[in-house]
Amino acid sequence: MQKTDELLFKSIREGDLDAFQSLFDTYYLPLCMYAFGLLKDMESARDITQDVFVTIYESRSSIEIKSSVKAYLHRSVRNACLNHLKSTKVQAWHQVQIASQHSASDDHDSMERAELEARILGEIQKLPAQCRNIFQMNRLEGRKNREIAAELGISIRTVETQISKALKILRKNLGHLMPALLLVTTAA
Amino acid sequence: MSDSSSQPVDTELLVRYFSEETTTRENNVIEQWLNANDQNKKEFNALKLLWEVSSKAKGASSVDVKNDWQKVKNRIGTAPEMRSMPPNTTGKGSVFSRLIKVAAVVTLIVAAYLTWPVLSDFTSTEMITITALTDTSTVILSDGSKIVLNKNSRLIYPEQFDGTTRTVTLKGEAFFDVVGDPSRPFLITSGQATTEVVGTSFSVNAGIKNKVLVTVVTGKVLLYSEGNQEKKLSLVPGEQGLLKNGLQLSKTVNEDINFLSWKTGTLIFQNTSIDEVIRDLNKYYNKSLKISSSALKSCTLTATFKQQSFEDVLTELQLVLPIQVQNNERNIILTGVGCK
Repeated sequence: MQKTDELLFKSIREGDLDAFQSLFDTYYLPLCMYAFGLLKDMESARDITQDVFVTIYESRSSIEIKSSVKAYLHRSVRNACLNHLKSTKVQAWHQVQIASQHSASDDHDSMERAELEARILGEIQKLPAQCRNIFQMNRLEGRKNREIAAELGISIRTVETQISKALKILRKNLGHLMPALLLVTTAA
Repeated sequence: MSDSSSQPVDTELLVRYFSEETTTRENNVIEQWLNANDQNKKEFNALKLLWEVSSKAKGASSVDVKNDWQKVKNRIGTAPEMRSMPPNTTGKGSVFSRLIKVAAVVTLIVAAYLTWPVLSDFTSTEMITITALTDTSTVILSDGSKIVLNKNSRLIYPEQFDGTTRTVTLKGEAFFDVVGDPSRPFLITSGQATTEVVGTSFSVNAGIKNKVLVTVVTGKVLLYSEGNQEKKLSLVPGEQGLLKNGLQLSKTVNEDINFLSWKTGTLIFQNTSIDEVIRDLNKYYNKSLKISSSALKSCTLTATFKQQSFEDVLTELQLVLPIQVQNNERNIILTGVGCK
């Protein structure tokens, strides 16, 4: 996978926008989630991640990538987040402290985790509408199945069926990722 | 109930359990099932993990990758993408011929239920598998050839090409931009179909049951089945080759100007019948749009949609055609009295 990124970056250096979009599509969401983890604010996380991509594209011919493209992106977003925290509030200073104390391997794991979470999110988006809606009400909004049933005017049984349908689809489509996911989660 | 080890997992019960809404009796059932064997435990852990991780995606659901890409693209303010289709102006033919000039593209749509061929040809070099799930993905091969994979597609290729051919395996749909090398033909295997190119660009889709469809824009492509390599269908720009059930080869003229829309993000309709419009929209947006009555079949559409959201497209449809959109649980229905 990394090999491919490196080849992709070769094309980006030559100004290939398709290749750049491909890099963006692969890493934008995980990087936003990673930045969100540091900043606790998705708006800033998105802005900062976009800034990083713009900067990278503009300096594409001079950038030296020593490790991997992914690590480079990850480090750039991390530094940008820390700078942002420093520049905003004094109260945020402790967050910077905490964030910069993370070891490199912790950090690697958190990026891996963000990537996997982004993949799961992608699959959730693809669920059938009704099924996705109910699943998200439970998982993202933390609502009780009873409350969901009352709001939608359906039985609890139906709510449970829809949620279990969502889980089954995710399990089926993400099965190949499970070993990686288990590894990252237990390591965290 | 006595032998819980042989029972399949009751996901609904597990959902109640994860939601902390089970009774003590139900907890016991789960515990029994869980302790029955390791396979059950594995299954339980996998589902629990999905359950937990899916609640963490909270902030991310507000991230619109497509929209944010547009923002980034505007900021870097470069020239338009080389391969994006020009906005439509005149007739079908001119869009098509311009596309040929701009792109030098051969599209190859391969559709088949595929069993993975044994890749014994290139054991000496490491095989790489790329799977594009929710979005397209670009891959550059060691010879410099560029491949754009459509969603839900997979490509297997060697890290290095050695030997007398360059062979890759595709499941799903992809666009190939092959670097010319007459001494090493480029072969794409998809199920029983083999597509051979000497050097050009093209796109492959292996998604429809028992069908392999090859559409050529420029260059020359040979299509043949694994079972009969003597009979090769030669395809030139504008032509489309079809391999059915791994045996029947046939050739037609490509009339679908939207065959690359998954890659360009552009859908072009020119006096196009509503049936075809719906077919293309459903394919591009992965929806199931339907018309309520045959009266609507009298409607045609002329419009270009460039990287627009499905909702925008529906709004636009309602503005330009005398139709209304109705959402029900499963389908989106277009209603109206027709255009006559």
